Amino acid sequence: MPEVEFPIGPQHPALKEPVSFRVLVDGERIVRLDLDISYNHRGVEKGAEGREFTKALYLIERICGICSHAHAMNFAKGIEALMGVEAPPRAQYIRTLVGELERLHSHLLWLGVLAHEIGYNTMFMYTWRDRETVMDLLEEISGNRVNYGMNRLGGVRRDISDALRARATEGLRGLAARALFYNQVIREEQTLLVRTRGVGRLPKDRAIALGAVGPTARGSGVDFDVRRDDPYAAYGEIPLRVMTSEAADVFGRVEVRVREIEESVQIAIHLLETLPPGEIAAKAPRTAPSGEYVSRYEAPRGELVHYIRTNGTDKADRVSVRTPTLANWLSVVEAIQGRVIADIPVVVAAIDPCLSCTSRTTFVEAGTGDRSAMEWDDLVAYGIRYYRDREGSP
Amino acid sequence: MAEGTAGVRMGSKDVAPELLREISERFGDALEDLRQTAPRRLVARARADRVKDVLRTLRDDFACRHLSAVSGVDSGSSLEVVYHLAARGGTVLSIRSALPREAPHIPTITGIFPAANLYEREVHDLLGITFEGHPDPRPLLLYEGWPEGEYPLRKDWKPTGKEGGHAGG
Repeated sequence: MPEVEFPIGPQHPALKEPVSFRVLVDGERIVRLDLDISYNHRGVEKGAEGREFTKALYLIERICGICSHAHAMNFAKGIEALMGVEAPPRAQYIRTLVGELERLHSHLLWLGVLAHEIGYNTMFMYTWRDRETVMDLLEEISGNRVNYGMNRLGGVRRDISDALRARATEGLRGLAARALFYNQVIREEQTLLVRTRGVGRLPKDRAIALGAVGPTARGSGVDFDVRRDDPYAAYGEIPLRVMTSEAADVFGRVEVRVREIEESVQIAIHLLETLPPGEIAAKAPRTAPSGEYVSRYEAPRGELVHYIRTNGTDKADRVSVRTPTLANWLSVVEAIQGRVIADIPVVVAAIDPCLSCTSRTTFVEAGTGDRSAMEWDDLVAYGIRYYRDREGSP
Repeated sequence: MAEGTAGVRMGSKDVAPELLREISERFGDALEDLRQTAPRRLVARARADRVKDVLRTLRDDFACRHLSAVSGVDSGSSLEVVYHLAARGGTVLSIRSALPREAPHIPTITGIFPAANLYEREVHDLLGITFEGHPDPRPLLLYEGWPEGEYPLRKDWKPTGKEGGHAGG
């Protein structure tokens, strides 16, 4: 059978990480996957060079709509390190708390998306309902559901009252029970096991060589988490268990994230219970001396890197951003090889690139150039049908 | 059921000073200006023709198996490539190599760190640095109609023509 190439995407440019895949297939088998991420370059790094630190902070926060706090906090702590300023303990705890709530909302959102991709919409409804608990807390704490704007240079913008602490702890205790429930469901639910076990294999040594980060790496047994290994803010003072899985497939990535939901709930409760008293911001100077700093952060999708150079003024000379998703693309390319078309949605979703929106898929017949279009939704439906026919209805 | 490790590790001591000593003894003048800039942060400079050997040795003998990022920087007099390696104890070792503006070439490190594949393509797109021997040197980040030879992160680059109308907002 001749090899056929078909592109998937790019999807809607309003969503982050628009990407186009060109998939070379031999029948059902995927020979090679190639990616094109050129659809939404916004020039944020260039924009950050021309703006004072205080303005660049707000620009950097908008790199990502899901992990906006990760970017803002990573940039703030990087500039603070260069200025020689340290945020007070209470600010460090509040930053860490918002970071863990952000991880919770991101992981719950992701679990729902993955469930949807495999036709398990009950799970999708459950997780997105639970996510609202987290979103409400984030809104109460920061005033916003996205782009929280909690950071300022030297600390945070808003304090947490004792009444809010009590409400947040109560909400989190409810989530703790839900997290245990999810941990049980993923081990027992056949719909999920059939679609994730043995799918998208990524051996540990390959995950390391390809530079995978976050749950993608930890799902292949790579014991690396910036929060523990290069601690910042309150990490290093609080208990933290790094979750890994030896499964090295899509199931491993699911398992790691679900256990991280459990762990993040516990961390958030601990932070609320031990929140130190005191100021929420230190005074930061306007300028930073010449220097360079690699600021790292464990974002929901993995290690986030900001390489910052300053030159003695109130603007950065260079802000180089390496997002976790860029680090994880090569793993998708490798993990999908040799799998079938029906596995594309789940293997792509497993690194959590938020590729769940409407996306055009075009099949190109090699040699003739004939094209046929396919929506991302159709591809998802095709995947579900493929496995239903193969496995039979329960 | 495959379960991973779940060790609790509190803040640990900074191993960067001892790492600095070991690396300095091993490399001699192949690594210039090796110094610590912050807790768990080391920087050094290497000549472009020595970068590959330096990185291979760091990977094999110093357990720097994770390439965190590759950054490109326009420092005015030259263009620089900075390789950020994750070393033990949460240390980040940043090795920079300065390249002449008129001919910014450096050998690819994809043979040592496959993870560098997309990072090097990004640096090429934004700063016009050529990575010799890169297995797949196609444009990565800028849209398909982006003019060749325009490198937006160079300090002397100014938006022109149609693109200029949208820039600087």
